[in-house]
Amino acid sequence: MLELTDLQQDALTELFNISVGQAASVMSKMVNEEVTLSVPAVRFMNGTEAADIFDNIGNQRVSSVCQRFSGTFSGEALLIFPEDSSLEIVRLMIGKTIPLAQLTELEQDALTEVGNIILNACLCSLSDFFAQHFDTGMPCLRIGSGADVIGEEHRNEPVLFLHVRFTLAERSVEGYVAFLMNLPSLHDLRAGIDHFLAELNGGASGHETGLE
Amino acid sequence: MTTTVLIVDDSRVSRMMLQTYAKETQPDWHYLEAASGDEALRVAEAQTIDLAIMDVNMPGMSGLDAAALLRERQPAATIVVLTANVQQSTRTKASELGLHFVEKPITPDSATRILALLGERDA
Repeated sequence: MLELTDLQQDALTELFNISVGQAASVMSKMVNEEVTLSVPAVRFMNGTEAADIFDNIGNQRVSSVCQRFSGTFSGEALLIFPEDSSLEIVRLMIGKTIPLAQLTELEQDALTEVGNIILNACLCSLSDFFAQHFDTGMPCLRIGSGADVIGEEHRNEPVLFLHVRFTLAERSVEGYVAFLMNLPSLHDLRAGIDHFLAELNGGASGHETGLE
Repeated sequence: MTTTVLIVDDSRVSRMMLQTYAKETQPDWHYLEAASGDEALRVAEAQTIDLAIMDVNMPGMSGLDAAALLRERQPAATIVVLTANVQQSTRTKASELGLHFVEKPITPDSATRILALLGERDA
């Protein structure tokens, strides 16, 4: 399996941390509430293991907004909530502008749009770090078990799984922002991290930045 | 004469939110909606648009492509890109097309800012 050096992994964690921080800032603006974030976890694992993590969110079905991205590296960004928190989140974000009677009808549309905004904030930050444009697909909503939201193509293959748990403290609502990347994409990701580190070092050589 | 605003977004919720906030400031303006770039151009064939507010990432024709065509067909229209895709590359493309750029999420403040752009020279 593709390995990252400690420095590469540290850089990736920090870039992801800052990117999700941007997304949290946007989310906080949308819900008018503080959003707290866990320390990002960056791990290689099998897709089924990643699914297990989501299955353990309150032991219930989850709603996930998924958005494919492609550029220097490619993968899938996911915003994940317990299913029974979805309506609460939508109500927090848009409830004042939409009549309550319509809110349930519009829940899926609203949740998809919320995911679109938050995941794009994250991708934009990564785009800035890597000085690369990412093409993004249309966001889609998946509801079901962890395996359902991970998507078939990732289930049985090793993936790099980055995830952060966020919490709206006053509402006891929590969820995850996660990125899934498969192995071919990871070679490109590693090159992107090395480029970022080299820039930090003022054009230092690969060896000095921990490259093999 | 009434000001006509065209809101283009594939998210019905986004269209509703924007229209709700806009009507708080300009209740008497005429608001039209379209769920795609293609639909926006069809709507604009029959109407003079004063202000078009355009999402970027939509099924079919992108908001930037639709905005470019709308600019050709209605040069006097003020066109604002309102998008979650806030990457520098997207901002640059919008700027090259002479479009205003506003970031999502849609808030009362951002809606007010968009309406205030009417009649301003594009970026």
